[in-house]
Amino acid sequence: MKARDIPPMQTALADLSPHFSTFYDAFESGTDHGKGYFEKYGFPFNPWLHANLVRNWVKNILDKHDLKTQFESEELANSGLQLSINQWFVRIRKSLHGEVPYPGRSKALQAYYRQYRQLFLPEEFSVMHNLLLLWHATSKGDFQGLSLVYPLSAGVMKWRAGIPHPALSTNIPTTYQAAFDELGDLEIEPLDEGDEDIEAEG
Amino acid sequence: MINGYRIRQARELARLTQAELADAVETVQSTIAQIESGRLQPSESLIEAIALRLGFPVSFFSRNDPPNFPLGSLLFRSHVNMPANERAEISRLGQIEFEIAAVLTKRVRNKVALRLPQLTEETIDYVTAAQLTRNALGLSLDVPIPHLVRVVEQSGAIVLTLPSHFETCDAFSLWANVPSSQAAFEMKKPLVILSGETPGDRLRSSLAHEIGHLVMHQAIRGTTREMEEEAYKFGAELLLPEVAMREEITTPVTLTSLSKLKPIWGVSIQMLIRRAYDLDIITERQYKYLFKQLAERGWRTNEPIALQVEKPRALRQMAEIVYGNPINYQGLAHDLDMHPHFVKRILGAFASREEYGTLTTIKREEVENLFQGGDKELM
Repeated sequence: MKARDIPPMQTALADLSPHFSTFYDAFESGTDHGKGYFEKYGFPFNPWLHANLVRNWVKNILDKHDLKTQFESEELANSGLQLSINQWFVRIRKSLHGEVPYPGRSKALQAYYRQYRQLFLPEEFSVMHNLLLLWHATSKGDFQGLSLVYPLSAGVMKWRAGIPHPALSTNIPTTYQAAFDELGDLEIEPLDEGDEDIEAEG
Repeated sequence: MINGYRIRQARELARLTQAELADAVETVQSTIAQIESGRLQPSESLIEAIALRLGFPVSFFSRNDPPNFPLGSLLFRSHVNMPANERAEISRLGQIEFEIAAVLTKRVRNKVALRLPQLTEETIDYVTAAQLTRNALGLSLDVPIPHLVRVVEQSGAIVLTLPSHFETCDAFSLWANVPSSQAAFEMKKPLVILSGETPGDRLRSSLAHEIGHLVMHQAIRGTTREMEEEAYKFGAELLLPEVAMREEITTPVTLTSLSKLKPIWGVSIQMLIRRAYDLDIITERQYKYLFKQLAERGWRTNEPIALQVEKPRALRQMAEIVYGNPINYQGLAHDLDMHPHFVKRILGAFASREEYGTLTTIKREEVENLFQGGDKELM
């Protein structure tokens, strides 16, 4: 693919940003759900099982938000999730200590990284682009954040963008300007002349 | 005739010991002590030097004693570790502002009725007290409080704000006798003093906490630790009523979901987490995990979504009524025997008409839209 055909990072971020809040919420709650499993049964923490519990939870949450997701492969134990939004295919993968994981032996995944065209495209788009949504977690499973990557091949990427927590990335106006006349001032008034006289005498 | 009490008041306001003041005006500590106790009248040159060092006109030191100003909740738990000179400075600043309020109150007609309940019976628990307070303030149990300072001022309480920030004290409160233009006698009124420039969410929770003291603790009940705990829980119920929170904070509870509630209810994410835990909506593990996430993101000390700092209005409004708008600071300062820049600094911490029309909380639909819309300034 020619470089000029690759949409800029800002386009991808703008297209996907309405869903960032949902992604964060899904991973935060998924992480908590996964940890709750080990607590509930008193099992020792298993990071692989925890990651799978998170994936499964996230899939269900995204499905609830009409972001139809599917596992890359139902049979694969550590399968990532994939979905499409506008002109973007998005594969959700767990990062490898913060780095983009290699595609491994999967031919389909290798092709995905190389931006090979998909055979069946949504009707409204003639070109689809492949993105990686990485979720970062500590070795104890604590969710750390998300980033978005445009891969070109294994170990090579066009760009990578950290996705700030929605509470940080949203310009929330924390004040609401009410009409002052509607709210009014406090009920404090000037003294009238009679009051002034009384005051002076006092 | 120099009033020694006024020298002590101004000295403590400047955070000076008697020895430090004595050094500054080239005299000895015992002379300052005698002047302050009224046993010695200073020479003209000495009082001029004292006035210059303490930042007040000489005439200030001839004024009668200020109105009685108890320490109130400054004596409680959260303030016990405060350095004595800082406590004295805060108290003296509050006293000065209270005196300004007392002077102005006599020259206006204040029609704001006292609606803040006084619930001193030990049988009334903090939940009931907070609910009765909301009711008295005209607030149902299912709505956020859009401007807590305004609501408290409208309830007849006097809210003052200090012109600078004190890290060890966000607020304190007391009941004090206030003169009135309408009555021949003084009226006992609730008073809250806020530390200036406190972050908006902290200011609201501190104010709610102090309202708890005013409503429930006119008479001492239990230890100060117990009263502090009770005031905290009162504040939580006042700002985040249980009946509403059980609908608002639903599992799974995440930082994202709590971030959305912050600007709606006008409280910190940390307070929402604590509230969820106190109401058994989340487990201890979840409580700890949420706080761990806050710490890892650096949000324990610097939370996202800064709320506006609410300012009280009454003192400035009274000054505008008596001294015009814009305020004639020269005239006001002259009547108070203070320097105009000092008076201006104090009144500058209070809300103008325009600022008083700004509400702290925003509507739920707006928050949802903003979170869905994201931000175009992504990295």
